[in-house]
Amino acid sequence: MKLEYVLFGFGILFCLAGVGYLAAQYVRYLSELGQLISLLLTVGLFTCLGKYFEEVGW
Amino acid sequence: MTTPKAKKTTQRKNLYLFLTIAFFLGIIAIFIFDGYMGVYDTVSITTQEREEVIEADYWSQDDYTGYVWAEEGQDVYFRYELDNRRFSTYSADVEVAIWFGEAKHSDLVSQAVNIGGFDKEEFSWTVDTGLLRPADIPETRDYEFSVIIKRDGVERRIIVHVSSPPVKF
Repeated sequence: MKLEYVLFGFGILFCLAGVGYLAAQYVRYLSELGQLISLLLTVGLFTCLGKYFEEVGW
Repeated sequence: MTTPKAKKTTQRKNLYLFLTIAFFLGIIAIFIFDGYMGVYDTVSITTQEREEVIEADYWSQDDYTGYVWAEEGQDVYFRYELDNRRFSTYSADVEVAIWFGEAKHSDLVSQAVNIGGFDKEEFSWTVDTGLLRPADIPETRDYEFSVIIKRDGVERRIIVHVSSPPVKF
């Protein structure tokens, strides 16, 4: 059971790393305004995701 | 049966999940929208029957240089398209010149442009390779020159390699 969680953890970590890498590559081509809006949306995304997990009981 | 408090908690939970998805889709939308918007330029070069198109994507690579091959005496046709994918008007001075190394040989285009939002403008010019051979390069040797396009701090360089005519016995 614990091993499954560890594997899930690794899976999620690799997914986040992959998405983060792709975003970092692409974000160089965005305008400054686009980068700012993307940053604000990312902050909003993680805030809501955190609140969601809080409501779930994590 | 669910209590009103539990129902409210579930609704709030769903709202946060919905907002998370909405923010994620917003980021994707920004990436697509911002990638589309901007001023893009495309160069088409025709020598003999072959047309080579250098799209805007290539120019976004650092220090990208286009290469074209032609035989001496052939005309090389250039077409330069500026695509203004913005809401505002794009104004700039477009200068095109032939360069041999660091020395400017001649101007091909020198023009101010005002392109309206989501509009395009096109320039074209022809280079006769039969007239450009530098005096210090013998006729049996190939030579090269650069066509440099400048506008608004942006520089595009295309190197034209000119093959010498075949030796007749």
